[in-house]
Amino acid sequence: MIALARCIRIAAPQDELFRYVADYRNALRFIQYLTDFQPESAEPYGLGSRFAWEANVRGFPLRANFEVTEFDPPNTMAARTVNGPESTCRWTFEPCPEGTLVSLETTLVLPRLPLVRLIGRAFFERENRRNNGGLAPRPTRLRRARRGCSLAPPTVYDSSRFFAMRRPLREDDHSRS
Amino acid sequence: MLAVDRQRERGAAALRSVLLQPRIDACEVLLFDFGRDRFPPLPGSEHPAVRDIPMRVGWTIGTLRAYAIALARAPIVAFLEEHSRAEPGWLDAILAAFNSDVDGVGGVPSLANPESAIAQLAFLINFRPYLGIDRPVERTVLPGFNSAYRRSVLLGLSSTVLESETTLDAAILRAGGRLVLDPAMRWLHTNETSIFEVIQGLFVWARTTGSVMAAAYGWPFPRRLLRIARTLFTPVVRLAKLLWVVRRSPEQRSLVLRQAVLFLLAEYAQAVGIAIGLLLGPGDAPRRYLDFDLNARRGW
Repeated sequence: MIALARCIRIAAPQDELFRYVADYRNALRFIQYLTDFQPESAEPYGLGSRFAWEANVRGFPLRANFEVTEFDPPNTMAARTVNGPESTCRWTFEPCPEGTLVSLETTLVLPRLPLVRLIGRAFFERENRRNNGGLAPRPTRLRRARRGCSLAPPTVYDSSRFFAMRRPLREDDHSRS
Repeated sequence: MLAVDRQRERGAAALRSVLLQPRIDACEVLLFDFGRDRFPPLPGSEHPAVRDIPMRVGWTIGTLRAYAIALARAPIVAFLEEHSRAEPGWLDAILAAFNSDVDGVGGVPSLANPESAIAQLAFLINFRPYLGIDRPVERTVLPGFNSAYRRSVLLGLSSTVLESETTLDAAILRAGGRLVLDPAMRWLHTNETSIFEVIQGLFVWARTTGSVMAAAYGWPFPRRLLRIARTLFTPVVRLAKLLWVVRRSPEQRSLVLRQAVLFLLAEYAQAVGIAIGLLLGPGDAPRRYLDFDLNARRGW
């Protein structure tokens, strides 16, 4: 199993961020590589709600269904896949002096074949480093300095940047709901 | 900031040592509990100064530190490992040190398990540069994972830089900050008691450090190769330096001579880790290191 955790500080209230992340209509805005995200249960919000998603990761199409397994507004939300690649994700929202600290813990169970595991692990780690575990943009991308460490840029993002950090919603995204 | 996992008794001892500090009521203890889904709350976590935060999986030292720094509400953030214990006066020394214009303060460690020869050796490998200090002195590197920093300085650092004291302290110095080693800030450190644990810990730490150094300093490939070449000689040089340092202490000299082979073995594990980190990147070493740091037996 691969497990990754990342966090990002966002200058926005905790409950506002929780509502934003918990609203499936926003998923395409902030989850990297998603191409489609649809509710499958009658209630598309809260514990037990189910969704189907499709993604394209560097040319590899992925498809899975997942279920929300933990829902504690405005603190925590977790989900696990019910088919497709076995994985979990858990969002937590904690108030911090600059706004809210959002963290995302993800796990992924790779196929048993050693070569596939090796490649899959390297690929997953690389992609996660590049997009900050799904919380892109990387909060503190390192500046490459010729000599020594440079201080990285501040890690606080205002809410408008977080909300708009993925491609804008397509016109038909809302109509699907 | 204190993180605990399966070593509950040891973690509780570390927390108790912090809560016994006289001015603890003016502070907030961030307790990151990775074992919360398997164990009851850590004894002492009910103290009003403690903010108990359940954690799950996937964290590294760097991302956990970034998380702790962001959550912290105080202007100073002190790190303490769960296998360390703050000695009386530890907190007072930190608060006093930050009355001047320092950005980081490290203390002088003592060995918590001197009954183990391997622990003594590991202690010398890890903490030799910080021993024998009798007054505050400026340093370029502070004791790893058990020092205190200004939150405002740490906030500007990435989780990659925070993975290792080597890059963390270098980043602070490059920004014009000051780091001080203060003997009044005393703490105990429990070291590994088997050579396997020593090697395992040094290897994953070194691979992490090698990779973050390459990333943080922007080293091109030839520069990395040069660093690897230097690393090959480091163990022998360090052994010679150590023998020079302990030449006046027959007891320590005897220990180093008796354990010279194990010392070289551990140092070469570290050198190999650095080389792999520089060439291949971190892999899953940062996560394995956090797991090792929180759960290695260390004789408990």
